[in-house]
Order: sequence, then C-alpha cells, then structure tokens
Amino acid sequence: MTADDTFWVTRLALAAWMLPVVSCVALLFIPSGLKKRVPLVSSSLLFLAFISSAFVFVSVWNNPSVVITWNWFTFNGMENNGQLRIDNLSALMLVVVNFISLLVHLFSSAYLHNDAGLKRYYAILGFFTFAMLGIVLSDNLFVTFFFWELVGFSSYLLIGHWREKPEAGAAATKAFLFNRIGDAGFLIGIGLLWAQFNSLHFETIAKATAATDPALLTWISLLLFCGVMGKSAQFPLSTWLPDAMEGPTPVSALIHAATMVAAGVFLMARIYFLFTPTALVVVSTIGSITALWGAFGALKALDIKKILAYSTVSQLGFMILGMGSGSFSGSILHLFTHAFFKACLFLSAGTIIHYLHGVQHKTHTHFDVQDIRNMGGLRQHLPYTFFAFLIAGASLSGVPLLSGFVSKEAILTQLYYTTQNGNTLGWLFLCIAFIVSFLTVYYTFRMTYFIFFGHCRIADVIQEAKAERLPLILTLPVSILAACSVWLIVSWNPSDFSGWIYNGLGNPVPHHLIITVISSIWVVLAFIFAYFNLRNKPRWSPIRFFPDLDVFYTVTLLKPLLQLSRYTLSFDKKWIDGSIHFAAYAQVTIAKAVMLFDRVLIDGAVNGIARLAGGIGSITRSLANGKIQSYILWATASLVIFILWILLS
Amino acid sequence: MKHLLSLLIFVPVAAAFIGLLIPSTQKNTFRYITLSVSLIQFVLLVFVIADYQAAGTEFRLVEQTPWITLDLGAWGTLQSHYFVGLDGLSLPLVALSVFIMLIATLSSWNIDDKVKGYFTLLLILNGAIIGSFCSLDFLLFYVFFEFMLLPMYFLIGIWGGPKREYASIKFFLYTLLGSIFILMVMIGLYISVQDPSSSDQLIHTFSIMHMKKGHFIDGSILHPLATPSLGPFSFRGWAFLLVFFGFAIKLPVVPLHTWLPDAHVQAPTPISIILAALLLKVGAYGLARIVWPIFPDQVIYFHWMISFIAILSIIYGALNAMASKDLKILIAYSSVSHMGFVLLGLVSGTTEGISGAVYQMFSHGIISALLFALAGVLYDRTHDRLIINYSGLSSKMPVYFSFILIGFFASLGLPGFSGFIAEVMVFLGAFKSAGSNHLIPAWMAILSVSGLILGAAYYLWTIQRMFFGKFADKTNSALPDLDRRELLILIPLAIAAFVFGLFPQSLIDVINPFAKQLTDLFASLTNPY
Amino acid sequence: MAIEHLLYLSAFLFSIGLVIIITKRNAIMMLLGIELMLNAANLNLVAFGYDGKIEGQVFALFVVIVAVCEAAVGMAIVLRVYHYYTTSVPDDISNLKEQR
Repeated sequence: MTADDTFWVTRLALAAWMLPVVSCVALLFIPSGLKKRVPLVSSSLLFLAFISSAFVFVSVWNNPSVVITWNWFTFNGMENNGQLRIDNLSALMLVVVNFISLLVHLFSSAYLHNDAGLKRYYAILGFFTFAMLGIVLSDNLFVTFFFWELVGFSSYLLIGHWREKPEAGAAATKAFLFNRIGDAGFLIGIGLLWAQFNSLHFETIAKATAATDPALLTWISLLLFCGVMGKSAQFPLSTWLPDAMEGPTPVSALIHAATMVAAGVFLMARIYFLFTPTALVVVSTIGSITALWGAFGALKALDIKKILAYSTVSQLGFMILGMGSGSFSGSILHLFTHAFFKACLFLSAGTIIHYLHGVQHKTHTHFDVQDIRNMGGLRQHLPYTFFAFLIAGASLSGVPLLSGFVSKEAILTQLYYTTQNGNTLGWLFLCIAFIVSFLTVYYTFRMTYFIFFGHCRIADVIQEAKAERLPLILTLPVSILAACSVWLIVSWNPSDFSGWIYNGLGNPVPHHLIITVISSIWVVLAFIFAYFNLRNKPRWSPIRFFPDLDVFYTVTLLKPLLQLSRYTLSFDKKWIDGSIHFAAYAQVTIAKAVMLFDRVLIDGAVNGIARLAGGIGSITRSLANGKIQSYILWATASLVIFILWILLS
Repeated sequence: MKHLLSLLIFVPVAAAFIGLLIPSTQKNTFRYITLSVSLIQFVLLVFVIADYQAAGTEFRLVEQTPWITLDLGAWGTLQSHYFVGLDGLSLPLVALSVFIMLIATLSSWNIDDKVKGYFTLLLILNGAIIGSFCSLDFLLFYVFFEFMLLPMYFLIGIWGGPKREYASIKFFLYTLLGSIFILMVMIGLYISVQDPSSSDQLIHTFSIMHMKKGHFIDGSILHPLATPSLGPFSFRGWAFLLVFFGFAIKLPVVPLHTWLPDAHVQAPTPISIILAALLLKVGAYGLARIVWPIFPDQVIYFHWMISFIAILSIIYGALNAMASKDLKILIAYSSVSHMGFVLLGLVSGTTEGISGAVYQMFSHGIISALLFALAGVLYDRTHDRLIINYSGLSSKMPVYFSFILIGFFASLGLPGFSGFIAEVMVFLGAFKSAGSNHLIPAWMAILSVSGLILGAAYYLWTIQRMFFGKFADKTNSALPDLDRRELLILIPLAIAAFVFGLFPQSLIDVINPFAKQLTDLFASLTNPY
Repeated sequence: MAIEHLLYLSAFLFSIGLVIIITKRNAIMMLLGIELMLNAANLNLVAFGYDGKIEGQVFALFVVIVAVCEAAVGMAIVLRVYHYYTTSVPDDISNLKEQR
C-alpha cells in the first residue's frame, strides 16, 4: 500500500466511523417540524458511512494494517493513547456493522414511523453505531473500554426506548447492570495489565507477554474475559439478553443479535494472545454452558423474540466455545455469518409483529402478537417473510449450502483438531458442540413450524383485517439479509469453510472432510427427529424445566444486597448518629448535673447561712417590739436574773 | 496585574461590605451585586489562567507580605505571612470555585427570604473558599478555613428545610471538631518548624512551604527523627492522625460522614451545590496540600488504615445510597462514595492515582453540582423528594429527564464524562500501587471496582423507579419542564462534564507536575535504595 | 421599829411602782409609778440616816426637788403628746416604729 493509499484509507475509515455520530448530533439539533425527514437524513448518512467502509475494506483486506494514532491525553508514560488499527479483522467488522446498521435504519423507518420518540431513536441508533465502531477500530484497551461502556449505554437507552413500559425500564437497567458487573472484571484486568506492562496498547502488551508469569497472565485474561461475558451474555451473566427484547425489534436485530453482543467475541480475538491454555479451558467451559443454556431456553420460550434471544445466547456461547480451540478464526467467521442470518431472523420477526400489530389495530382485538401460540400458517399471509425466515433459519440450523453451515463447520473442525493434539477435554467440548447444533436445529424447526405452518390460529381476525401488502422498506432489508445468508458470502466452495474470509483472519486450520460429512448427516438427522417429534405430539414447550437464573440471583444476590444496604443505612442512623446523639445527650446530662450541684449544694450552703442569720435576727427583733413597757419588763427580768445569778453563785 | 489572587479573594468580601450599606428592601440589587461579583471573578480567572500558563515555577502568582510578626524574646520569633499562590492542585479548584459560585448565584435567584443576609453570607463564603484554596501559610489557611464555617452554618440554619437547626448544628459541631484537631497540629507544627533564612535568630513560621521542605528544628516534637512517643505512636503519628481525621471529617469518610446527608437534605439547593462541589473539596485539598507533603512517612506508616477507610467509604456510601428513599440523600451518599475514590487515589502514591484524585475532585465538583441542581428542580415543583412518590416522569418532563440521564450517567462514570477519566486514573493508580509500592493492598484495589457496579445499581434503579413506567405523581403538582433559568444553570454544568471527559489533556497537564512531585516524595521514602 | 421594816416598806413601794410602770398603759399612770419608785428610794435614803447621819435626809430633799422638776417636764411632755396625738398611751404612738 502506498502512502497515498494510507492517507485515503485513514480518512475514509474516520468517515465511516464518524458519520453515524454526525447523524446523531444532527438529529439532536434538527427542528421538530422536520420530524418526517429524520429517517431519511440518518439513513443517507449511514449509507455514506457504509460506502466508505466498503472502500476501506477493499483496500485494507490482506494488506498491511493501517494504524491511526493521536495524542488524546498523556499521563505518566501513557502516551498517544488514541490508537486505532485497521486490519482484516476490524475492516471486516467495520463493513458488517455499518451494513447491518444501515439496513436496520431503513427497516426502522417503516417499523417505527408512528413512534413519538423517533428522533431520539435514530439519534441513539447512530450513536450506537459510532460506539460499536469505536470498539472495532480500537488498538488500545483504554479506547476499547471507553467505547465498550458507551455501547452499553446506548443499548440501555434503546432497550428502554418505550419508557412507559415498566418492563422496558427494568430490562434496560438489568442489561446495563449485568454489563457493568462484567466490566468491573474487565477494569480489574486493565488495572493489572497497566500495573504489569505500563501500557494498554495491544501491540506493546503482546510483545511483553512472552516474559510474563503464565499464572498472572491467566488471571489477567480471565478478568478481561469477564467483560466479554457481560457483553456477550455468557453464563452466568446471560439473563439480561432475553429481557432486552423489551426494546424495539430492529434494535434487537442490530444490537442484541448482530453487533453489540458480538463485541465480546471480537474483543477476545483482539486479546487472544493473552489467553493461556488454562484460561482457554475456562473460556470453553463457560462457552459450552452458555450454548447449552441458551439452547434449552430457546426450547422453553414461547415469545418469538425471546426464542431468538435465547438462540443468540446459545450461538454466542458456541462462538466462545470455539474460541477455546486455540484459534479465533472460526468464531469470528461464525460471528460474521451469524450477524446476517440472526439479523434477518429478527427483522422477519419484526415484520411479523408489525403485521400482527396492524391486524390488531384494525380489528380492535387483543392478543399477544409475539406469542407463537397465536401464530401459525402465516406463510400464506407473509410469503416473502416466510421465505427469508426459512433461509435464515436454515442457515442458523447449519443446513448445507448456507453460510451458517460453513462457519459452524469451521468451529467444529477447530475443536476436532484440539482433540488430535492430545487434549482429552477437547472431546467433551466437541460433543457439546454437536449437542448444541442438534438442539439448534430442533428449536429452529419448532419455531418455524409453529409460526408458518399448520392452521392459522387467528385466521378469522386476519381475514377481518384485510391487511394490505407490506411496504418494500420492510421486506427489502429482510431479503438482502436473507441473500447474505448463503454460502457464497463466505467461500466459493459450500463445503469448505477455509474460503477468502477464514483465511484472512490468521491462524486458520485446514478443512477436514470427515467433519463436513458428519455435520451434514447430523443436521439431517436432527431435522428428521424434530419433524417426527413435533408432528406426532405437538407441544408448545418441549421441555418443562429450565433453570430460572433470575430467581436464583434475586434470592442469592439482589435481596441480600438490598438487605445489606438497608442495614448499613440503619447502621448510620442507629449507631453512628446514635453514638453522636448519645455523646451530645451525655454532655447535656452532665451539664445539667453540674448545674444541679451548683444550685443545690453551693447555692444551698450560702443561702442556708443567710437564712440562719435572718432567722436569728427575726427572733431577736421580735423582742424589740417598740413597747417601752416590754423593754422595761425585759430589763427588769434580766436584772432579776442577774441578781439571782450573783446571789446564788 | 500583580495582585490577581488577592483581588479574586477580596472582591466578594468587599462587595459584601458594600452590600451592607444598601437597604434590605432592594432585593434585586443584592442579586445583581452577587452576580456581577461572580462575573468579575470569572474575568479575573481568565487572567489568572493566562498568567499561570506564562509562569514556569512550581508556585505561580505568588504574593507574600509579612502579616503577623511577634518577637518572643528567648523563644524566637513568631512569623506568619499573607502568602498566597497557585500550583497544579489549587488552580483547578480555584477555577472550580469561581465556576460553581456563579452557578450557585444563578441558582439562588428565587431565594426571596432575607435576601440581604443571604447574599452577604454567600459573598463571604465565596471569598473564604477561594482564600483557603490559595493560601500557602497554615495560619492564613486556617483563618479562611474557619471563616467558611460561619456563613455555612447560617445559610443552612436560616434558609434550610424543616429540620435545619438540627442539621446546621450537627454540621457545625462535626466540622468544629475537625478544626480543633487541625488547630492542635498547626500549633505543633508551628513549634517544630523554623524559617532557616536567618541563622542568628530562631523564627517559628506557619509557612506550608517550610513545613513541606522539612525545616524542622532539631529536637522538636514533630521532627521526623524525633524519638519521643506517646502510647503506640510517635508524636508525628499522633499529629498525622489528628490532622488526617480533621480533614477527613470534611471529606467526608465513613464513619465520620453523617453530617453530610442531613446538611444536604436541609440546605437550600444552591447551598447544597456549594457544599458538595466545594466544601468537600476543601477537605481533600487539605489532605493533598498539608497532610500528604508534610507527613509522607506517616501516610506510608498508616497506609493500610487509609486505604481501608477509602474502600469503606466507597462501598458503604454506595450501599447507603442504594437504600436511600430521598433523592437528595441518595446523591449525598453517592458523594461519600465518590470522595472515597479521591482518598484512594491519594493514598496510592502514584502519579496516576494522585492525578486521578485531583481530577476526581474537580469532576465531582461539576457533577455533584449538576445532580443537586437537578434534585432542586424537582423539589421546587413538588416540595417532595421521595423516590417512591414518582414514576414515569420522563413522559412529563423529557428535557429534565435528558439532564437526569446526563447527571446520573456522568456520576456513575460513563466514558465521555469527566468522572470516567478520573475514576479510571484512580483505578490504574490503585493497581499500580498494589503492584509496585504496596501502599494499597491488591484486594482493596480489586474491591474498589465494586463501587462502579453499586454506583450503576443505585442510579439506574432510581431512574427505573422515577422516570420509567406509567406516569404517577403522588404529590399532584404541576410539573412544567425546565425553564430558562434552570437551563442556564444545567447546561454549563453538563457541558463542563462533557468537555473534561472528552478532552482531559489540558487539565491533566496542570495537575501532573503536582502529582509527580508528590509521587517523587513518596518514592524517595518507599524505595530502600 | 427596826430599820428592816422601813426597808421592807420601801421595797414594797418600789415593786408597786415597777408593776405600775410595766402594766399601766397610760403615760400619766407611768409617771405616777415613777414617782412611787422615787419615793421608795427616798424612803431608803431617810431610813439609813436613823443613827444621826444627816446626809441621807439632805439627799432625799434633793431628790424630791429634782423629782418635782422631772414630773413637771414629764407632765408637760405628756400634755404636748396628748395635744398632738390626742392620746396619752405611748403604745398608740408608733411613728418611730418600723411598720410591720
């Protein structure tokens, strides 16, 4: 790449990054009279951003990476901490994020066209895209953490977009808090890294890791992994994601399926060099638990968005499981394909919800538009959506010729190679991966079956509503995303995952035919099982028991914490203030006692003497009563006494 | 201009005296006098910053004239100077004071009761706060420090809420206790420190510069090498404990914090703003200006206790905030938690930590002012601050909700706001300390991060309860959205929180020399070499 | 007649005078009592001159003259008091006494 190219790549990457935030700021200052223009302004800016990122992608792919550095702020040796890196990984993510964000912008213009908070919605959407791209481009843990939190913030605002819904507020709070718990670990990891290496620059740290104690490295990597667990909804921080479905559906597609939750997986790829083998075992374990938990959750859930959310959790777990295999390429490939087919599924679900809302609105009936028990046979009413949903769902299940099959195969192959290296735990993880892919087929089939096949349970209502065709702006993004779910986007050969993307990501493993064959057969078997299982005895939820982690957290963490906080507050009032009041009262009491002593004893003694003198005085004074005769009497009497005394002595 | 700092300190005091000559019926005159004083100070501040950037020494804009000189015969000479100056620690705080005083004046506009007394006290408070941030002579500092107490006592006690007498007396007694501790140490230092400039005569001085540079008299009780001890600690140890807790009461730290919620809840909004934004900083400033440089050996000796108090404040304050039912109490306890970060940063003895602590002082000044102004907005409308009495306010007051989001998220340390930079620097400092000089044990550094989670928890829970959901207001008041005056107060604060969160370099450049100097002092004591 | 009898008589007279002074409320009666006491004293003076000594009788004459003067002054005072206060009972004249 020439210097001139670098110049343009830098500028275009910054444009691709900044245009969404330009959209955000512009919308904040747009007069409310132009409210109808909001989606147009925002989407066109996003389109420009997408075009720039496409250019960046084309020029950077498989070329030396471009580094952008600026001096953001300096303290004690932390120089130039504004560091961005555009390499294969970030260029790929740049395109994906801008692309899906653009489609979601378009989709939202129809989905939310009557919403009162449209302006705010688009502004935050733009802000989210900006923050997400910040994580993607960052070459420095400080910058990553900066945008990491901002992404969580925009997710908070978007989940809580419908503020009147109390559940939305609760879900938003929960999402942010779970992310914060993960981020606390992340921050501790950053702190340890800083203490150890005095730098947060990926490259500087990578150079220094060789000479570092592996035990410390394990701790640091696991602490950083806490952040991944929060953002990518890994067990045990996984329960916020299903709740986050309270937000608008396009938001779920963008943030809680395609991009933000994938940020954790992306970050792991960026800091992969820190992970020691021990740490990777933990990572795989967490990933496999999450994948299983999510899959079972998807079997239990009845809300269409919740099913997709659990499925997302499961797929994220699958990616993290794949991370444990010693190479991040497979997981990133799966992240890439998952972004498209899951966004497609969510937007299709959004279309269905939008359609049923319209029906509800026209007929003034009330039913839960997201509950799959109220659906069925919708393929006649929503043919395009059905088709898109089918493709994306098949891709999710890993049906050959679709992108999901290819990327899943990459992860399975990687896991297979770990077992060949003498890692006995690897077999366990490989088994879990197969179980998860079986369950994925099962719940996808169940979902599709209940929504689009069978008889329509609200057919009469739909008949009555005479709903018109869906607008193009709703179907177009869905169709594009469905088209992106075929194998061609990943590699030319539908059975070989090591195509152009996989090989561009670093430490790839070669394709292995046995895994391809086994996983194809496995998917077919799963479909057959699901078909007969659900056809013969249709049950809404195939499983009865599903561990409700929220209840567990409420009982073990939240309640004790609140109790503790109430206790500390009463400790403040009772003991700290109490001892101060006690000291004050003690002082006042002592003062009063001293006063009493003063009045009773000292004053009492003085007054007593005075009163004694007065008493004697008044007795003697009564003799001098002013009567001459009594004086004479007393004088005589005393004379007599005197004489008698003389005579008698 | 030669006497910029003196002007900055004494313009409000002079204005207060001029105000006394005006009849108390002229209510608006007092408002405009106070406002113009704040604006004049703002202009002066611009000159101060320009002069500060131009000068290159450690202390800049220094003014020094003899103030009290007393010949004690055989005992030497007592010497105290009118000695003011700015460095990386005090410049941000002086700037903050001027800014917050302007905000507080605007926020006082609707005070309608005993206007003359109110604004006179406000002006005196203004001068005293800036004076204490500038003074480099312990006696002068102490005079300003004590002078803050009196106006504050009356401002809470007269213009406060229903339990104002209790709150103001509690505030007064707590702070007075601290002042007595500080006074004792000040006298001890006065006895032990000399001005070495004249060799033939013993000059006892109050200058912080001489105390810092260690010009102790041989054999005096606070000499670093002095052996006499009292019970478990040396005299220096006792002196450190006294002066530490003296300032820590003001900070405040757990368990000496209970004056804060009461004072905040009872104080009128502008006084709450000043209390949180500036008065708490005086405590932190005292630690960084006096205790740390003069007693570094004792800071190292007592590092475990100080770190523990910091962690306790962070977590205990956050827990209390979570249980609070009153919006203002919640914010007050969050201040306790955030000032714990200041203490943690200071005790780390690293450049990151100390810079972060000073940054946190500045940032908390802005953000807490924003939060108390927001609490005041709601109180003005409903005269009720109980969280459970509201729900779904965001639909009724969307602009107010936007500012609540800014304030709460800034306070819980969202990137892009000044609090984030400060807290991250403190954390980095704490971890570095755990790894290098061991002033903060590693487990405490790790535990301090939980303050982030708890901070998010109580703020978000409050937003969820008060602003999300269906609209309900049990006080049945009219709830108009923000008016122009309130916007005029809130917007500058919000912008300041943004600017210092996105472009921290200019402030860090100011703070860093101070932090580096203090770090070197600690390094010289911790490294055995 | 032995001297004892005269002394008894004078003691008796003196006692009567004393009793009159103490018990009678009227100032004139008190003056009379005083006269009686004076005369009892005179009687003593005369009685002790029974063996030819003349001094006692001379002294008695002297006393009689003084007593006359004294009685005259006393009576004059009583008269003035009576004019002024319209009473001659000293107890009723309480101008000098502290008011209770």
